[in-house]
Amino acid sequence: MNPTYGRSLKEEIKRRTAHRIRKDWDLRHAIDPFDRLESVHASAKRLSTIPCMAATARPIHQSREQRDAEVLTSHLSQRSLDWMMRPRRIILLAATAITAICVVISLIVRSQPLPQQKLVPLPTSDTNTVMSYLRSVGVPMTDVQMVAAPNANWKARSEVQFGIDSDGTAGFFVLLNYASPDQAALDAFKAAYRSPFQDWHLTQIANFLLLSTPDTAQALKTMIASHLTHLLLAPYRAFIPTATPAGKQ
Amino acid sequence: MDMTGKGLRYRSRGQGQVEYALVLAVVSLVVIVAVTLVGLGAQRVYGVIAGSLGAKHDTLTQGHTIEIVSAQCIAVPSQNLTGLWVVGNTDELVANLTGSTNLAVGTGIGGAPSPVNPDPDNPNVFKFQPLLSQQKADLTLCPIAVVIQATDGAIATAPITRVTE
Repeated sequence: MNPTYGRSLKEEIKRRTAHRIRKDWDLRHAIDPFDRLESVHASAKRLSTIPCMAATARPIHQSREQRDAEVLTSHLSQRSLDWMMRPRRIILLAATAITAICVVISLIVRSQPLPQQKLVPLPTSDTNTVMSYLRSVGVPMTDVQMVAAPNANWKARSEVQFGIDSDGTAGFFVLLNYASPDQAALDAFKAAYRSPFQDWHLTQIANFLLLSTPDTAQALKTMIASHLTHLLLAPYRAFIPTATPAGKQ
Repeated sequence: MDMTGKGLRYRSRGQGQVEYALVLAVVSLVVIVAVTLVGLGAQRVYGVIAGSLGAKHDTLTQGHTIEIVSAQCIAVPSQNLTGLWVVGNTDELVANLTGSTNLAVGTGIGGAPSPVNPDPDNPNVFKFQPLLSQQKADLTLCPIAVVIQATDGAIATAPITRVTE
């Protein structure tokens, strides 16, 4: 007990704290009187329902004490509101960041190539069609031989062997036809690692295998492959250009 | 004294918000950089998973087309061989393509590099044909799915069919 002021130290600290908070409240109240006053009343009402706070409430007739209590409760409620607002800020910032990430990722994804068309399965063709086409475009084939298939070398459903002799360049080809591209794979794999075909040049186009001897001129191999591509792939695959349009030769 | 206390109080609260914002910004940046850097790797993993589940996918955008025509793992007992035979069409530069499976990325037997090669006679045809064994024909060595991937993000994936002689 302080004899000068007639208060205990505890009461004095409480009074000064209330005084400081009231000054703070007055400052805020002057800026935003309606909102602050409303907040104070609402907070005071809420706090009055808490037993420990209600017990410390002063009688109504003590106007200054009452105001101090209001200020105190307002301050406390403001602090609790601050803590309540903090998660909202975090959520807001997180939502903003997530939105930004989504926007950036979607921009990146949109810059990537996207499927725009549907591929139809490649139709299967036969050796007669191919040979007729090669003749129609003027490929100078010689020694055309139909070989019975399947046979010891190939599981193809048909086999044609032919040579080409044109402008001093020559070559020998074996054209194998299968029911599907998948069925051509086994023979292609075996040929790639089996003598003598491992030294041959091998091209798979749709359901055909085209083999050529090692001494076949590169220009001839390229020409036949281009014709086959034009006939078997290009009509169904717009992204594949060919240098030998139909009927050119 | 009061002002000092109030200043500290407000500064502390403001600092928290700035910290949260900074943390979120850094996390966002890290995520974006990580996605960009590992994008192709992640894409490859998803492609392998999709292929393993039996899905076939081709990229069909002009200039970025990759189509797998045939994807097989072949075992030939008469030659003691096991290997992959993947053939397809593309309008990409074949040198930019990488072949992967659920077992390896761009490699074949013993980890030897196995690039995706163009057909010399047909630049729109690619081949990915790594050998898996030269000692035995064994389909258990076969992977489940194959992914052909371009550096620009185009991708084709297919399940691998197992074939024996």
